[in-house]
Amino acid sequence: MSLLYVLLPLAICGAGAWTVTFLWCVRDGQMDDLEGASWRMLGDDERRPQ
Amino acid sequence: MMSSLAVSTKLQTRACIYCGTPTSRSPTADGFVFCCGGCSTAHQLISEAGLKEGFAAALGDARPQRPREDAQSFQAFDDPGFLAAHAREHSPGVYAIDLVLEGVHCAACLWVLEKLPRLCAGVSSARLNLAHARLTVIFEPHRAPLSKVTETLSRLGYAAHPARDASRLAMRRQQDRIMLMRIGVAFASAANVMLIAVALYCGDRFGISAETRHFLRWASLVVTLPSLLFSALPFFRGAMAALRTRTAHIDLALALSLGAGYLQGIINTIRNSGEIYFDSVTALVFALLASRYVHQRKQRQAADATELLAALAPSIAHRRDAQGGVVDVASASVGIGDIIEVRAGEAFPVDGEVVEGSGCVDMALLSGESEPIDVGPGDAVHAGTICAGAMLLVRATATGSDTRLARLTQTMQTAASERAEIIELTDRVGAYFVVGAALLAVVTVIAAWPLGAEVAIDRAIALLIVACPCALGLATPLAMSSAMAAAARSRILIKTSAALERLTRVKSVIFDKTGTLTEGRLTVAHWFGEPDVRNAVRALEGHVSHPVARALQDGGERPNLTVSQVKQITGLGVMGVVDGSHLVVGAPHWVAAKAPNGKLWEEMAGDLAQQGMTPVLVARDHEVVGLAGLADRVRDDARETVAALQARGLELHLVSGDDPRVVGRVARQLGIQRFEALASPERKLAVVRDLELRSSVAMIGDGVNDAAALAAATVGIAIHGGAEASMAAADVYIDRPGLTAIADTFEGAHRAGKVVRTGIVFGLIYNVIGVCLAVSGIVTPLMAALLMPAASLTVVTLAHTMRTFGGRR
Repeated sequence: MSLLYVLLPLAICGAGAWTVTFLWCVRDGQMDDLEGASWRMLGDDERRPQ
Repeated sequence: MMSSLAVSTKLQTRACIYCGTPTSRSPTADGFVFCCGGCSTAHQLISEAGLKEGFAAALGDARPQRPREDAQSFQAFDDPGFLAAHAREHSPGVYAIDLVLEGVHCAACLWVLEKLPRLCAGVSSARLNLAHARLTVIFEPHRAPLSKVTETLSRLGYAAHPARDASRLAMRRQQDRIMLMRIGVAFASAANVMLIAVALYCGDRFGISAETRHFLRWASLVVTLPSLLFSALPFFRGAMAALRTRTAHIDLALALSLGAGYLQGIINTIRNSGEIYFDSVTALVFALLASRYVHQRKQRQAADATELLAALAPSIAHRRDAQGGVVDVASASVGIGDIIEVRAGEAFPVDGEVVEGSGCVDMALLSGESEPIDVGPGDAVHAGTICAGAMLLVRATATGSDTRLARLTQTMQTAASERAEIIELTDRVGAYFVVGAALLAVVTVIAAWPLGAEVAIDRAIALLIVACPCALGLATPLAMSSAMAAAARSRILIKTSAALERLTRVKSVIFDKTGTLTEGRLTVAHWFGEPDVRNAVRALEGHVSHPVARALQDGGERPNLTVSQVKQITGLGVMGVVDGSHLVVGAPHWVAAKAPNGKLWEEMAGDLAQQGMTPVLVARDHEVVGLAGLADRVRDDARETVAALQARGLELHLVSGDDPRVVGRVARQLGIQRFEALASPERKLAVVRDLELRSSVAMIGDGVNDAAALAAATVGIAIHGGAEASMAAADVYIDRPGLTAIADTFEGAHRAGKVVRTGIVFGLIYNVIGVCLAVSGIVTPLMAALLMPAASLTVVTLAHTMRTFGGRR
């Protein structure tokens, strides 16, 4: 069972990393418009000049 | 001979062929119907071969969204002062500006608008926030002046205004972000506590070493802390505020349970015995926050749609200086007595008096009248209305907060704040909850005291936890936001959930004016005379522009008759030679005096006037030959709407500023018993206040002069096509032509109320079961963990499956 003492803190660190990433995304403004993004991907990509 | 020549001009609603949104706009030259500039451009691009050609073609004839932007000069936007006030420097020589756009609402808009860099050299990026209709443009002013950017947008069909509420918006965005962060943290906590809880539950069932158990409990305490210290904060703050102001609030009830749960869990973890409730409590915090977030977003969507108003009075005025030159200054710095130039298509920045020039003014913002009014030197003009004709020179008489627009807004806000705020249903029930749970807890402690102090306190706390009104806290916001979303889909915008709740309690409805129930323009309702006379009148009136003339032209082909020597006499009528005979059309007393047989016809005209119509006499070669009765026709859907409202048991009133005869005719035709004519805006406000003493009142109106009454009523409903300021005063804004939406609003609100009550009843049933178990001491953490989500799940399912607004779900 001693493995638990290593794995559980590791898992919690993983969760912490997820949370920090999420907080960064929100702070970065990526969640400000939750509707636009779903439509934006439907538009065509800009064609690169050749 | 008598023939009724009234013409049916029902407002037609069509579906946009690109995105399917219903719209009342008329088809384009090639027969397509679009709801917005974005759709028409997108459609054009797809039907054309290449993107570039498509844009060129689209720009060639894309019509502006609103005609008034036609002549709008965007020059003021290039002013360095303007740039400094509204734009921010992105990098040297490159600026970023937020623009509020009118007419943005679908994916096509997003697609077209973000192609802006291709259309406007010098714009490096354009990013649209679809939810707020805000476009962030990054541009180089020396290559693409702001006037060019806004002009391109205008040609695409979007009127652009600089975002003036930037600070408020930034604050709101910050609030939204913090809310999302709380939800994210709550979710991470809840999910991880849940994983550990599974291990603990399994351990309870299949055996677990005491050491491991202790470790796992400490681990879940650690994972719980972010949820307790960060995510659950709003509930504790809300509870503190409720305590301070001694008001009932659902937060108080929630905080009591959450606090008891957290505290018990922490104490029991430290002493390593007893129950911990971390899994239930963290999951609950997440569910409650998420439902509040959904609710808040729905509520804002409706409010945003009416917030454009702030951008309507221009922030720049063109001031004439002593030398006759023109300087652009901020509207706020205009002094009384200053001479301002207002160009065609621009809005007046201040209240004033015309000193030079004559033209017409579009008063739609203030009065809701679509007909422009003629003005000349000496006439008063008001801030926010639009100069529709030629350039005018205006002497400022009131600026800033003294303008009529600002004062109206002020009255509106006062009226709104004077309205007794009704405590929301959840808060009322929440108050009983707190008292009930606290009393029961005390009773439990006393009853279980013989079993030992520890047992008694454990049971009391278990009771406080299961008595958490979580389903109640979820039920109302979710059911309300789901109903508001459904309402928005059928183009009924409800600003707050409180308004939705108040709608269900409305007992009487006041229609503010006859114009709400009628088509709002004159048509020929009765005609006495030969058809050839009618044709001659139609030909003559074709040369005159006047509401009466327009009414007389309607109904049939424009006859091919020669008309000459047309002479218009203001206030009386018009005369001219039609097909060789002399024709006079106009006010009965004026026409009758010109003909020997006039007396009898004048009496007939008097009868028509008694019925609330506007009579017009026609004389040909000094003999009266025709009589027309003009009236504002009752809308086709008014009758069925009135019947539907009466069937709901609502008491209908018609309080109008119009002539008693006109009001009487409309009320009789529709079967409205209570009506009052010649009512001033103050009188309307008084009527609303009087009725409110007896019962809840809904006021339905469309003009700014009614804004105070709209705001004072229990629920103010502004209808489509009304003055834009009335949208801001109303709780409900109906964005769809026709009156049927009014009946739908009441029907939907009634259903939504039922959904909320059902949800609350289910939540209460779960709470009662939980409390019974807790008092008898058989509640285990597992039970609590199962009961709470079960209750929440039932409530969420109910909120999303029950029908509210609109025909289908």
